[in-house]
Amino acid sequence: MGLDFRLLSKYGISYPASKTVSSLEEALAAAEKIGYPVAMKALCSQVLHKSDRGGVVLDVSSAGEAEKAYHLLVERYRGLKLDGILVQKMAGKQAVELIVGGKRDPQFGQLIMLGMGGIFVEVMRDVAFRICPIGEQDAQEMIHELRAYPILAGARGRKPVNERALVATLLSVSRLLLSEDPKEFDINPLLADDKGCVAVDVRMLR
Amino acid sequence: MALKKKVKNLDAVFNPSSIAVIGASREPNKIGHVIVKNFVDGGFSGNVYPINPNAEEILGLPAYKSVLDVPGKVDSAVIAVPAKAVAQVLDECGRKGVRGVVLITGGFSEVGNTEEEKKIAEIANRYEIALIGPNCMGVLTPASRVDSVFLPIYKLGRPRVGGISFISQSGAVGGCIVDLAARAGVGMGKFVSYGNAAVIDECDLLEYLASDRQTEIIVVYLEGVRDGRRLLEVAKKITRKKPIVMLKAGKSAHGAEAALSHTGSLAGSAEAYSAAFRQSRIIEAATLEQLFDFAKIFDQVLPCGKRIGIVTNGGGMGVLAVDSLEYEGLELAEFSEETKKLLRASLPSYANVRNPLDIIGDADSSRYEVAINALLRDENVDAIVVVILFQTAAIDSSVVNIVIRASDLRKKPIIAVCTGGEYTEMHKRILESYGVPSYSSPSSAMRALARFISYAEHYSRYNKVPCDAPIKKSK
Repeated sequence: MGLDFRLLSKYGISYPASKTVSSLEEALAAAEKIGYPVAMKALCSQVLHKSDRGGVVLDVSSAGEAEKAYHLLVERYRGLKLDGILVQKMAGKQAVELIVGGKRDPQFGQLIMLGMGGIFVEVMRDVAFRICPIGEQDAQEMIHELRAYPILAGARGRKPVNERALVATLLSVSRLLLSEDPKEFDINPLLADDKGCVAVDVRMLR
Repeated sequence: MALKKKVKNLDAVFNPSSIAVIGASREPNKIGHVIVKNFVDGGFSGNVYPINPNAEEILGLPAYKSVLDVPGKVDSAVIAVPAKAVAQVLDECGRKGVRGVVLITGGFSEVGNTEEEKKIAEIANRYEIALIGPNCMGVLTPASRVDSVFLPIYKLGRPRVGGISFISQSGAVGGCIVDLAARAGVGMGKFVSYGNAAVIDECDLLEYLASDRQTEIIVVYLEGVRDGRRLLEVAKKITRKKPIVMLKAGKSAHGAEAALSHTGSLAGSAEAYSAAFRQSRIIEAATLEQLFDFAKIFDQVLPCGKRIGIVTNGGGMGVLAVDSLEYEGLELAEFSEETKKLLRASLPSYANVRNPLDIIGDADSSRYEVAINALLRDENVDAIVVVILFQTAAIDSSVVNIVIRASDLRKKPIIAVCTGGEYTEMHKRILESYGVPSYSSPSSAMRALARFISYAEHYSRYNKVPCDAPIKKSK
């Protein structure tokens, strides 16, 4: 996991300050250094989607809560091989959860996807695809193609998402997909608000 | 775009000056007989040479034992001999200087006989022959009466001459569509069923048709592609100049693959194809009907926007048309004050001069003329949909002339909706054959119009043409 985040920085995709730890002491030190509130996530290659097992605790805002969260995660993953706990700066509350992903298609090569993210992405299927590489216009069209585009554009008094930053992120992911050529790739969620986009979770299958 | 020699040689396939039918037969129910007969009966003006080692004469034409025995030049050949005999006759074609071959014969890679197919491709490539097939149904060029489709003319109708060219991987599907196009009065530039694509594949054909003056619109029925990326690149270049309408069959086939990520589980082969279509501005058809519903609208002048004016002699059809219009993301035009004034003065007092313009069930063709002319003049209207219910007592065949005359002015796209039985269908066919795209339902009309309008935006962006111009014929 740590490795996948390092990969993001290579392509200029931003992600929240984070550290992978393997003990309670390390976790508390990391949270202190990053600054509360933080999110804590169980890293385990045996579990496909963290939320299926309660592997994410959000809004941890003190050392006391961090200790509780640490024990909770260890408890929930009992019997599995835990690779570590990710302590991560909590992102802004107003952000929209998006997903940006990729897949190697046998006919067309790398395919890039943008969609409304979160745990129900497969149910909602509000997604747009393009073949890589994509240009600025492709990226813009992908954004406008989403059914939920009005939410990104600032429905119901929200601040609109920074579309330029989102376009830039899509172009970066397109570059990443072409040079790394993964079998499958997910940034989910990618949190987008009026300031920019951050990749909160990333998964790459070679 | 500079074409490869073998792609250039497709000229010999589509417009040959002389043609040999290898495997010509005297027996009326044999493919090799039907092909010769279609060339003769179809009025092909070049020389036709039946090739058959055991016949002196076929359909009144002298037969030759081999293409090498033909005294004059042979431009093109249609081959319909058994698979094991193909290599030899193809090599003879090469030696004779034949540039284009349509290889009808099956029994190659489609049944696992890839070795023999490779051998055939090698021979064709050695002589730079443009070879269509094997395992294909032939080609049609209505303008030059080239017809190597092995289905009898009385069973499969041949379309009139027009600007739509049609590439089909499948012979069976291609045949059905050609038959339907002929019946509907849709004009065709070229038709080709390309089968196993051993030498000439869909991208070669796209490139050829892109530079073909006769072809204004390219329609493709596709089952699989060898190289998706090449298709994407080739299509992207072409669609800046000519529209491509494509139906991809078998899109649901690969969806079952197990995936570990969200993206992996959402991105099947169908999504990849649709993405490629969007990126290259290919107009995607979801059904066979849509292929030509979409294609036939493209020889209209380009619309300047998406504000639609609707004329109808039936209120209900107007309502349905508006529903479909909104569903497709088009806009209902707001008539100008001048138009309203003009309509108020000319239409009966009980007619409401709003869009959709209901000129009432007692409308005759002169009322259509007033309405269409008013909408043609109105700058708030970008395209006109004329709904005609031919079932009413007041309407007669002359309304067809009104619509055709308005369409011939080529000021704005005009399309017709004619819903009904045999009497209606007859008039719809006449409209169609005079170049007025005509549809059986408001929904199919609006669907096609929406595709046309979005393509027009793309086309004008690249070609910097005023929006009321037609799509240019290529040089």
